[in-house]
Amino acid sequence: MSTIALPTTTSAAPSPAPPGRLAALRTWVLQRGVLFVLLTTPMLALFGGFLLRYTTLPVSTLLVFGSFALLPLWISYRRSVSRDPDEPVHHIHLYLKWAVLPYVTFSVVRILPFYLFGINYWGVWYNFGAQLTGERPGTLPALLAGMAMYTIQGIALNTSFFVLFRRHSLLNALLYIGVWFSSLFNFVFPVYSLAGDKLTPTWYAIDIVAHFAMALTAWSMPGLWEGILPRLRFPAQAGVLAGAAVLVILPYGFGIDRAVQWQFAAQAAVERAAMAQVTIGIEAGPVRVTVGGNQARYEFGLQVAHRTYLNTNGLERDVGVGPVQVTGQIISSGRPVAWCYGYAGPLPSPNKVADPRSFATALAEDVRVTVPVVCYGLANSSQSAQQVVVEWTAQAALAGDRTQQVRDFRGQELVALDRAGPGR
Amino acid sequence: MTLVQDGPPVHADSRGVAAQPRRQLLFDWVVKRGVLLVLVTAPLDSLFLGVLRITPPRMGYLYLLLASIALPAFVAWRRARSTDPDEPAQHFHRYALYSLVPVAMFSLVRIPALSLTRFVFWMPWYGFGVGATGQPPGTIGSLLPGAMLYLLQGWSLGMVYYVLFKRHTLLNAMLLYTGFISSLYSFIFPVFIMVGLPATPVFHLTNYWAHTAMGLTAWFMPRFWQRTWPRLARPVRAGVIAGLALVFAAPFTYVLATANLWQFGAQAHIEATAFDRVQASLSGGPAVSVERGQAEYAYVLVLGPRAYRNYGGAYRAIDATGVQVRGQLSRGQQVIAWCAGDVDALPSVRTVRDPERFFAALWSVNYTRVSVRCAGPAAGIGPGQVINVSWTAQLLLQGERSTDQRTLTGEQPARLTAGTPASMAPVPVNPDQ
Repeated sequence: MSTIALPTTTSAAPSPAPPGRLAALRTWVLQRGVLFVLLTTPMLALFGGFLLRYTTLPVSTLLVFGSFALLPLWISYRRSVSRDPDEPVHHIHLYLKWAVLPYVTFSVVRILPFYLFGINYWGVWYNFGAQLTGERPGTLPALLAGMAMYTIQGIALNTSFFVLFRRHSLLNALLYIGVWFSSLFNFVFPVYSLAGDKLTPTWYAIDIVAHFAMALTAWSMPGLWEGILPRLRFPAQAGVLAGAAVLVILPYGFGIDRAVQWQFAAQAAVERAAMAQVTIGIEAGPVRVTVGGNQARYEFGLQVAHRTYLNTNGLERDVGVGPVQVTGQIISSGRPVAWCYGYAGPLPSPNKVADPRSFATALAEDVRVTVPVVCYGLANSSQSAQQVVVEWTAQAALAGDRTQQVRDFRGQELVALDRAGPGR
Repeated sequence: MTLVQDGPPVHADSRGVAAQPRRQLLFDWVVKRGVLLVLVTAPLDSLFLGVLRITPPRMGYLYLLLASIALPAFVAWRRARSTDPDEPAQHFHRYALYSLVPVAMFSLVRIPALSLTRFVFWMPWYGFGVGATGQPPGTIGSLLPGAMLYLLQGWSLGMVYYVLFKRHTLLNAMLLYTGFISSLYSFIFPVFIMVGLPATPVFHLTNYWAHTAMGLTAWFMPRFWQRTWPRLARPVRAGVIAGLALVFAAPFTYVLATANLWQFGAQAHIEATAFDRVQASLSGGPAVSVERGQAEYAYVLVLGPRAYRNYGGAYRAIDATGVQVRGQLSRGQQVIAWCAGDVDALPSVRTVRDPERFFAALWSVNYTRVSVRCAGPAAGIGPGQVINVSWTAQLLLQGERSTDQRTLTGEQPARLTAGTPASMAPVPVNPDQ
């Protein structure tokens, strides 16, 4: 631990009389408050841009960019003027070092549950990365960007423990990280994020266990780094450092390995299977006909359905459909009497809805989406017909996170005519 | 100030520079200045990662994100370990404050350029904002993040001078800012950043002039704070602080005010004029093929022109989405076929980031061809006949500041040509889903 120097500059000597409340508050703000706020900008960005969505994640991340200049400035300034050896700024480099193992432990303890329950810990990293960078979710760039976000959030969260508390006791660690943060995240993530996830008690249990593991690790860090490690001989010290390095690499390496070796192919297979399930068919009911002048206009709808699937992160998603281009004919007495055309851009999809409740609503609304089709022909062609044959071809682009394809759909159906309008 | 000592110093400065082996000197330089330089330049490095197209723009900012933890950690660590009073980490807070004034000065001296030469110096700020946040260009949403990133980049450039040089001399300042950075800027911006905006002599002149002012200010700051400031009386100090705050705030306030009072209105007016110029016209005659009692036709509607020059003289193209063409073919009073063609979005130059490729891309999209297909009964139809083509094209025109739903109608006689209408244009896979 450093020996704190006594600056020759501005700070006044501490008064022997107990400071007033206002002075104590001022001291707290200067010594811990400002540092705490600057350090926790990654968490503020997470809450403001990702969870509570006051703005977008890239915009809220500007807070972190601001702290890039302000935090070292504040650290440097306080180190120049502070005479209190307990002030966190004198130990912040140690706190930042101590913060690393706790946050990686948070992920390491979730490796086993991945094998036991199929709940992966890196799924949310895709969301972080996709929202931050605009990369497609479920891809390596989104995963890497999400890892960077997770890293600064983890360091910020654990450093805030060391800055906020003067005594880094087990009780404080368990209360702050184990109880407070696990409760907060168990509430905030399901309510404001994780759209399409059906969370089970197992998910909550894993989250709580991981936070308590993080708390225990955070508590043990001062002892490990400043107590045990300096006393060890070289081989043991090197062994501990190597073990720490492996621990740091493990959650990232494991996440990337599983994503590349298993998840991407599995996701592509899931998406191909989901795309094969997508159906397009004529909406129930008659074809509506209106006649104006010497032209007849026919209208019907094609319904796109069966788009929902469960992805490899355990989230419900819709196969993206669109554009859809429809051509066809209305056939009466064996000859075409009208020519049809329909077009729809990307169909509504809940996939980009971040709010879980809105997601559920959007998912329900998008179970069946109608593509309107309009046909034109001469008015006298099907004047007496009660039924016609509708023949159609649709070409649709289908897209998932990892696969895209263009599929052709065809249909031919005998449909009743519903005559309306001036020619009725 | 008494410096902090944490165990034995890593590098004893008392050994004397002359006696130190070169490797030790290099190691010292790297630890004391090199790492700090790499970290404080993160805003510039992040920008360059995107600008040089090494990564997508927003991915480049991951470096700045990680540096936001690494820089304070490194400064704190060096403050705890270093015994060298000249090490920049010992003076980081001073240098950080010094660096705020040169960055403001860099823009302050460019303010007259707008009135004199219509050089809009803050146009790249939108690009910075769009690159980092994905907010739409030409709006406050991208201007504010862009201004903040510009401030960080300028601050970072200021820090380079204080971190890189032990002696903050005028010569060093001029070599760095007027010589090196101006030249780099004059090369990088036209080649990698200024899309659709040719670099004129005014641009280069302004660049050298502003960087020189920045260098002079950077050189002056330590002198002022160390020599002049201690001699000033309290009221004068208050006046100086107020003056510096004004200098710092002036360019940003000026840009925000000018953007609101002039730029947004001017751009909206330019866009409205550009919207009015967009027309739909027929290209050639429809091709017809008759098969099994049906006639199929295909023709091409051309939409354009879409190129225009924005408030700062940069070339841009109006975007168009939701393009829907409907129409008829008729012979005399008789409708012989019904036509349709849809395109989600006309090709855009918004994603073109390479200035060298921009103009080729712009001219290729200036007039865009939209395929239209028609079908109808075959009776008596054949090549060579003159028919009437009528169409209604609905589309949403989009500029940076405004959108306008337009309906373009037209009617034109045309001679049918023989040919199989091209098969239906393949449905494109939508990358945004």
